[in-house]
Amino acid sequence: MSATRWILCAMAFAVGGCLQDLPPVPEADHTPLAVGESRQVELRYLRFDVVNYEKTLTRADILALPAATRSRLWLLDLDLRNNARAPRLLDNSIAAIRAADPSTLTPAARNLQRLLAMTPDTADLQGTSLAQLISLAPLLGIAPGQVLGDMMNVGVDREFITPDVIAQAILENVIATHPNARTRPGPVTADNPRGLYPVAPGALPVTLEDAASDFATLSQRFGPVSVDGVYHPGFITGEVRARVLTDAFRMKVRANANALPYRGLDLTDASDGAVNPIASQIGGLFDFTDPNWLQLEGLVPGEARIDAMTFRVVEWDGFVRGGRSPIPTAQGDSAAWTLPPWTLERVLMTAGQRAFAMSNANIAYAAPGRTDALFRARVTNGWQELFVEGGLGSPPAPSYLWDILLEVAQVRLHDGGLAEGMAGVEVALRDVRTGVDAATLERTIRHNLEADPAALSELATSLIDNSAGATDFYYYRPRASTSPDDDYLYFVNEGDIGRGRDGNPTRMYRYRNVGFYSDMGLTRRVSTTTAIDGDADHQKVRLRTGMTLYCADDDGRTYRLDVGAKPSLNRRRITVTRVGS
Amino acid sequence: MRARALVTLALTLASGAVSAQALTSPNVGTGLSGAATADPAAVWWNPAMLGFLDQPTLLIGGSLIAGHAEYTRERRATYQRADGLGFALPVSAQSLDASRTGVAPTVTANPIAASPTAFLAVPIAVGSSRLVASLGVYSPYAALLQFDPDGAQRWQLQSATIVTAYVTPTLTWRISDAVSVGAGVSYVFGFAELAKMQDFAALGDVGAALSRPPISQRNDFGPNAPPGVRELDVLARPIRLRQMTAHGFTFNAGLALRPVRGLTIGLSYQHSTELTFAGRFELDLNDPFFTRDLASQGLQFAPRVEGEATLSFPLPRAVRAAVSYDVNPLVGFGVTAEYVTWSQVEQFDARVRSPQLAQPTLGLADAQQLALPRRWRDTIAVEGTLRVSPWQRVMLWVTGGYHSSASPDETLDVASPDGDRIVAAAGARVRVGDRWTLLGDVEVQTIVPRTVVGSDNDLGNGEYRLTLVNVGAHVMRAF
Repeated sequence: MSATRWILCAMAFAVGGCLQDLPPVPEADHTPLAVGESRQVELRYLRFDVVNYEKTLTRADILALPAATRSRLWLLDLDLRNNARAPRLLDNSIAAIRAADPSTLTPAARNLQRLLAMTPDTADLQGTSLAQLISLAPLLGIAPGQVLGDMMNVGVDREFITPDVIAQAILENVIATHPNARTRPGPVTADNPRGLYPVAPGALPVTLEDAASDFATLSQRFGPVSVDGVYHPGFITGEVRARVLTDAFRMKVRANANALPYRGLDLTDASDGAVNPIASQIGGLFDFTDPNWLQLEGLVPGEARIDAMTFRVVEWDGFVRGGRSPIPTAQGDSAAWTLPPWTLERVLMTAGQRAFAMSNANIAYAAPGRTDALFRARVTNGWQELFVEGGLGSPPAPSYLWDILLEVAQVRLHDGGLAEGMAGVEVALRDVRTGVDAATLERTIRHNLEADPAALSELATSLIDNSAGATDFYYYRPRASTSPDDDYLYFVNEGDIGRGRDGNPTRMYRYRNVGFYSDMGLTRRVSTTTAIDGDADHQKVRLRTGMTLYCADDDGRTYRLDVGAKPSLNRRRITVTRVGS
Repeated sequence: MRARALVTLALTLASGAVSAQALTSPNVGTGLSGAATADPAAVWWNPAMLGFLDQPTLLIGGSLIAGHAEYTRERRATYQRADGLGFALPVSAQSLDASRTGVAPTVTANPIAASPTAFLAVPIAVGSSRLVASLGVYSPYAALLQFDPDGAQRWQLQSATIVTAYVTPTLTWRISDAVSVGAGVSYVFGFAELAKMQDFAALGDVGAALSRPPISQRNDFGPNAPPGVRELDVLARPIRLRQMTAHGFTFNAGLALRPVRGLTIGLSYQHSTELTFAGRFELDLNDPFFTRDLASQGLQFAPRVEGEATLSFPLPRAVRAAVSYDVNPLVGFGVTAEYVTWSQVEQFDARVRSPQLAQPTLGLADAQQLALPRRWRDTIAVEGTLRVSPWQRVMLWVTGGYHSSASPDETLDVASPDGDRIVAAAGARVRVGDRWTLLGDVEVQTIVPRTVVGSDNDLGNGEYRLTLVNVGAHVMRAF
């Protein structure tokens, strides 16, 4: 400041002020480097080590997350398997179908209900290959149902197929074959680049999005789908509503991490960039010895329930005859075995096979007043043969019991004039118990996340969203190091690419030459994936003042890096020069 | 912190000439002016003394003040690396930087300031009594400090400009030849600008915000932040207070006695007043830590934050007493004492307001209030003057004195390089003709080199030196 101005300030009570203005905020130069052009930058490594950093997510917060993040965070596999002592969702669904008021059901659903409740006594064999039994049985003085019951070793008033058997068949044939029920999302790794992991048989994978939406997403995820050319009609349709989370739901996560991004460079214009640090710290992000590392509050107390769900099984478009050959053993030659597993016919065959594969019987009936048997039936491992003496009629051809069941079921499913292909069932279920209570849910979710904390990395990365720029590499110093020689450059990997609002990467990872090289031709790579602070994924190179490195950006342009001095322990100057187009 | 610096300066500057501290004008009026001196500058010192002026009198002139302030900071505590960001103790051993402890390079400031004055006193005869109407325009306080912007003191102050102007009309009633009373009302105008490095670790609101959800991190930030979390590069943000103006009113009153020939006794009271500076502030937050790295946690400032700033503080009461005695026409002496109630100043509140300051997610409002402890002490100042008139038209004088310090070690910093002062002055008065009088004086004030080791949070430890030289020149005209 000039002496004149000092005097003015003092004497004239200068109104305009005597201090120099703050320097203007520098404008970043985003002009791409031309070949031969250089820019010097200063990189900084700064840690903001937060302890027990607690993030609370409400339902609204979860639903506001990027869709990709919501749908990729797997919470648990909802166990559907039948369990006589602890009925699960499928058992309860079948029980609900059986107990439904027939007047509320569609004709197809009503027929299915009757089929599920069908006993030898109520079985209507009219129109099936066993129809002759109907006329033969009176001659023997017995009821047709008795014959069926004796052959199948069930009481005349007991269902042919018990609910647990049909549930298991549905589980295996319809649910387990759905592509979205076979795998669940998980972390994308080098070993699992698609991030898909197998689901335990008999379970439905539930994601954060499913839970937060009260399972409304189930009909989409488990509806019709075609994956890799394989079609599945799905088994849930229409609106789904559940009560899993209350409005007071809170998901609290405690983390220990450096919350600041790693600062790096976008080589294109040598501008400042930032890489989200969370993924690289996932190994130590959560303290599992702290019981409060994850807190789930506001789960619906007691057993979770499905308020509304429409269960669906489609029928094959055409009548499928039962088999007539014992070959293949324990299966037979019915065309039903060639149908997709999710068809109703195939489900019935599977259920029948499961119920009667071990059935054996040898029975004989004599006419009233006689001792010699006029009618004999032999069942060997489900394969039935009928013998009639004295030319009383033509007995049905031998077949497996499930072949018989298939035909009976198909006929009965079309009672009332339903055309073939129209007997597929959609049963609207109300207030079905899932068989999983809040405590189990909480315990299961916690267990799963503890076993695979990487599953939370996308969520955590999303919560601390501080990536910026199209960073090509970043500056890193080992956590406990005080040595000025412990400076590293890390080349970004795919997981470092920032995510957009939709949760998807903001740019493609398309580096042809990953890492740092000692020659401009990028033939001698000097960076390695040496493990530092648990990171063995990134290509990294240790810096020395005066060294020269070469690397390429994602457009294939080549740059020289001249490593400069260190203004302080946690800073490093680098001169970037574009050397190739 | 910026507020503290400003207030510190302002208040120390406001302590008045007798207890002049920091870079105030050591004198208002001439070197002879005082609570027992009958000259127009008594408008400031003791309006009752105006009653002893027999003629309309004009006094104009000013002081040129040159100073040398020197500070050698000695950090006595343990600090972490400046390029780190540990926000709570203990910081890890590898984050400590032993080289930051110890003596830092000395910083100096060499200000020069002018302090003009103009006084007019007009006696008015009212019956047998005499009234004197007076008006004074003067600048008792002027501070210009400019330290190295990168020096170790930058968290206290980089530079400051403070000037004040008083316009004071007074009315004096000389009740008798021996007794006079007077009072004045002052309009006070202040102007200030200040630059410093704002340490965000010292801001309680920032600490509270970090401790609350969503960040929820225990931290030691706040006005009493320990040295181990202070003065970090990321959290040191340049700030400017600009175009700060203050308007205030106050009054003074005095009693003057001349009980016997040659003896004058003056007693005056300067009332306290609240002085509020209002202006603009600029804050440089152009660091990714503030602008984007924690944006998902709600911390996202603009790179440059601007808004309104206010700063309020009380000016203390002061009582002056002076005795002047002319032993004979050739020799006289005087003694002046002043007591200032600086203990009124416990702390200062400053407020900055800008929509750009608001960080709703973190609970940071658009206005931030700062509480800055000062815990000042009352001061006392004593000066003695010996006057000699070797010739009929010439008077020479010398003055010596002592001023105690207002700032305790705990709150002393470079914004008010305060300490116990030794005062020495000399001057001359020459009468030219019947109506003109020329006055010139030189005064030197220096603090006893002050070594501070008990500064709160190690903010101001180190050695302080200050020397002020005041050269005054005035002309007085009687009508």
